[in-house]
Amino acid sequence: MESSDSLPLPADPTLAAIAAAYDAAGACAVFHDAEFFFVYATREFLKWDAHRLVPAEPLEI
Amino acid sequence: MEQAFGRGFSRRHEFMKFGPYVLFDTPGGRDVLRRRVDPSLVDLVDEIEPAVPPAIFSSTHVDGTGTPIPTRGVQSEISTLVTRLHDSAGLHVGSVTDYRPEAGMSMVFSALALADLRHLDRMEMVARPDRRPAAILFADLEASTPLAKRVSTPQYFAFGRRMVRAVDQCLIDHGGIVGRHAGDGVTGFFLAETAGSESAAARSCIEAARALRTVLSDVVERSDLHDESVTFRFGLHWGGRLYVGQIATAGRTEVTALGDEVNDAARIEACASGGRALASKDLIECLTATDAAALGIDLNQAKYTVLADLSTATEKARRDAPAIAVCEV
Repeated sequence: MESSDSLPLPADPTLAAIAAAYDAAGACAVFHDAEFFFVYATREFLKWDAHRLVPAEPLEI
Repeated sequence: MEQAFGRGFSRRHEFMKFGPYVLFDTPGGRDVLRRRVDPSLVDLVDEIEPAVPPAIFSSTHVDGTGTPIPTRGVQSEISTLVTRLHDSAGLHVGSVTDYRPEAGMSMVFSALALADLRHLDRMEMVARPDRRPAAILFADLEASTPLAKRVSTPQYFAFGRRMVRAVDQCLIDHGGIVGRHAGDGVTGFFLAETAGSESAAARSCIEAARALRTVLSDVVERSDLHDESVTFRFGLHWGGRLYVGQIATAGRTEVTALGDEVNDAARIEACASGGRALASKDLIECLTATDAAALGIDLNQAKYTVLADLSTATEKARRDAPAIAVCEV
């Protein structure tokens, strides 16, 4: 499931299972634990976060 | 965080929006949350009251005035769907924030219905403009103006649509990136980095041009044009210092390449009238002996003619690129 460019799945098994399913489905999503701490981002989110699909510069005309 | 979401993003505004839910979920309440949050938000902890988070809620990124703000470089609105998650015992274990484009999925599907995943991958690779050596293919329909006058507009439209679809598919199937379409002309780029080597890119470019001849002949036949005068000319060139990148606007996303070699490729194509495919010496000499042999080209025996000496040379070619050596492929 995990590839080199993905984050470790969350420690909580329920969160981990759901996160893995979101990741497998290609969803762009982030996960927080019960206390709102960030615990996981899907690979699609990481790609998006790296700005690989959008212009490098802000669109200002 | 502001940089990631855009300058209009306000962490304080976001904290005021979601802080009540965070406070509700924080064991130890306000005192613990005050110790946990970023120091720049501490003063806001006293301004919020805990609120029971909804099981699921959606949100858009807006600034203090309700104006949508760009999210991570995306100008259009991004919706988020936040769902609280529970384990089998009903214990709250966390939440998932699902990012979605504001465009409905039906619109997204329509926009991507004909997209080829291989091409989307290649476009992603060149999202950031950079120097990328590549083979350049220019193709254009000869005498398109008189053809457009001879047939009905719906028939010419159908022909044009079939043609660009077939050309794009052919370029993609041969490992290329579809460039700009101008009038009845198309451009394609075969990057060394995606083909694996300069020779492989040059070979793909020549094979694509040869395949396009067959494909376009089929398009002419299917469009009931039955006109032998409908021919396509091809100009193939090597761009060792091409600057290739993606241009995204509100209206389209496309890959384009800049460099003198692009202009030279256009000059070569303009001289290839009569349905010929002319390749520059620069392109041919990128080929390894193996790739040249696969194409039926003998690198030792190849004969070239400079554009200025071609009887079909255009005025622009004689003026701007007279010394480019080409041969027919």
